[in-house]
Order: sequence, then C-alpha cells, then structure tokens
Amino acid sequence: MKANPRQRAPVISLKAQLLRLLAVAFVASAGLAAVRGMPQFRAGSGSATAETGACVAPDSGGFHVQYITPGEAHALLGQPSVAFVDCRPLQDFEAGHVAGSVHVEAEASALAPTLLELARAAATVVTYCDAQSECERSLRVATLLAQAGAGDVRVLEGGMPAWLSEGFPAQSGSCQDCESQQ
Amino acid sequence: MTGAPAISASSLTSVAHWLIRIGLAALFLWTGAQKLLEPGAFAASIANYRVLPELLVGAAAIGLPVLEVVIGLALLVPLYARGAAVIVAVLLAVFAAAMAQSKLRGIDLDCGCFGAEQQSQVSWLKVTVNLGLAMLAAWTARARLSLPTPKKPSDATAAG
Repeated sequence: MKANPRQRAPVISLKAQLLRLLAVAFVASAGLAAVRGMPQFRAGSGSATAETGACVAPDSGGFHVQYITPGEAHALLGQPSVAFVDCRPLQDFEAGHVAGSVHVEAEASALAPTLLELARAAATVVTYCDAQSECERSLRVATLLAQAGAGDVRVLEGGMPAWLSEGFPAQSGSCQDCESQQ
Repeated sequence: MTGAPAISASSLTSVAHWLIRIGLAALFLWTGAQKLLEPGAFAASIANYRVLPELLVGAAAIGLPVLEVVIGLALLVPLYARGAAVIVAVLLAVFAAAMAQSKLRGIDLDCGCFGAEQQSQVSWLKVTVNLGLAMLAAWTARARLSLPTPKKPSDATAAG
C-alpha cells in the first residue's frame, strides 16, 4: 500500500493544546515557587491608596518609592517642610515649573550635597519630570534621595503635564538655587 | 524538462509560519529566561504597572516567565504550535494593553519586557510592536502546521 506523502501528523484539538500548555506552565510555576519561594519585592505601605499606590523604581534595587497625585501634591504646595524637585531638562524647567521647585540634572551620577541636605531636612520630597517622555528620571532621583536618607519621597504621578492639566500653577524663569544644587 | 523543485504558494506560506514561530519562540525563550533569573526585579516591574493586586504580583512574576518558556518551546513542536501561538497572541495583546494604560495614566516606567538586565522605557512604539507581533502570532495560529514539501518537477509541469 502506497503511503500518502501529504499525510497529516496527528492532531490535537486547539482546546486540548491550550489546556495542556497552561497546565504544564501552572505545574512548573508551582514547583518553582515551592523550590525558590515567592519573589521578594518591596510593596506599598503607609498612606498610599490604590490610585497613589506604591511603586518600586526599576533601578532602585528594591527600594520603595511612592507616587503622589497632582491633587495631593498641590495640597502640600507652599508648606516649608515640602520640597519639589524638577528632574526635567533645564530649558523645560525655565519654561514652567512648580513654584518653589529646585532643578536637578537627573543624568548626573550623584546628587549634589546641598540637594541631599535640602531633601533630608524636608518632611516630604516630591520629584517630577515630563511623564510623556522618560519620566524614569524622577523615579531615579527619588530613589537616590530616599537612599540618601530623605524621609518621605514621592514621585508626582503624571509629572508636569498632569500638574498643568489639573490647572495648578506653574512658574517660569531660572532656578535660583540651581547653581548650588548642581 | 528537469530543474529545481518548485515550491507552491502554500508551501511559502508554511515557511513563513515556521519562520515567525521560530522567531517568536526565540523571543519568548530569551525573555522568559531573563525574567526567571531575576524574579524579584521582575515582580517590581509588574508592581510598577499598578494593574494587579499586590497579592498576585509574586505569582505573576513566577507564572508569566514560566509560561513564556513553556510556549516558547511549544511553538517549536508542531503538535502544540497552534495552541502556543494563540497564547502568545493573547499575552502580547495583554502586554500591549498594560503598557498603553500606563502611558495613558502618565506612569512612565521600565517595561520589564526583557528582565532586569535590559531596561527599556514603556513607549507607544513598544505598544505598536507588541500588537504587530500579536497579529503575526494570531495569523500563524490559524494555520495547521506541516513542513513544506517541494513539488516534484513532474508535478510542477503538470500543474503548469
């Protein structure tokens, strides 16, 4: 009897394939979790709500950084114990920033001692940048500040664009303290 | 007349399906392995998206990379390639949706796509690439796999 060269390989129904693959993945995951344990990461705590929930900066080595909404940050504006840190490029800062902010070059390998001093003295530090592009900078600066001993460090959710879209005030001009902060 | 064996259009399609599956398999095996090496960092990346309850983040940080490795291998096995391609399409669409919601909410973060070693920002380009790959996976999922068999020259003559 002549074999058909186009004879199909045995077929498993799509549903059976899905079930078997998912079952294998489930069993393997359970086994891995049993052997290695569940992964440890620093989770949210404190007053963070679901919406302003905690977040761990990707380069933070597990350090805990919390977000703050523009509304919550606005409520803190003007309080002497609160510092706003602008992590955007200098020209963006000069075009408009949260009043009283200090500017920091987020690409710098280390933060200036005067900025660290300011952050340590503040009860709350809010970092922000332009969330539409590379807002990782505010996470990075927040992490560096927190690791340096600043108490309550928050990242402004949505950055400067969210702040402006809420209609909160911005101030233009150069950074008065920047020379000493860089 | 004798010549090189002709390959039909359906065979070319079959080759394309295989190439896509091999490419997706390599991608998922690589990313899954990277994430398994640093489960803590991957858990932090998942938490950054703020779409999963904290209780599920740890489970997802183990389950997702394991699933990626399993379907990466299954894509190379004809018996399970369709099912794997369906899961790949769904996973990539879910990843795209998670990235899109973070961009829309103004949360800019590392996407966690390739584990902790290779950081890359969430961007609309990544959302688009994920959706494109999801569509390719869905296309291959529609095909029943068989290895392309070159036609004998006599067949090609007969067909022509």
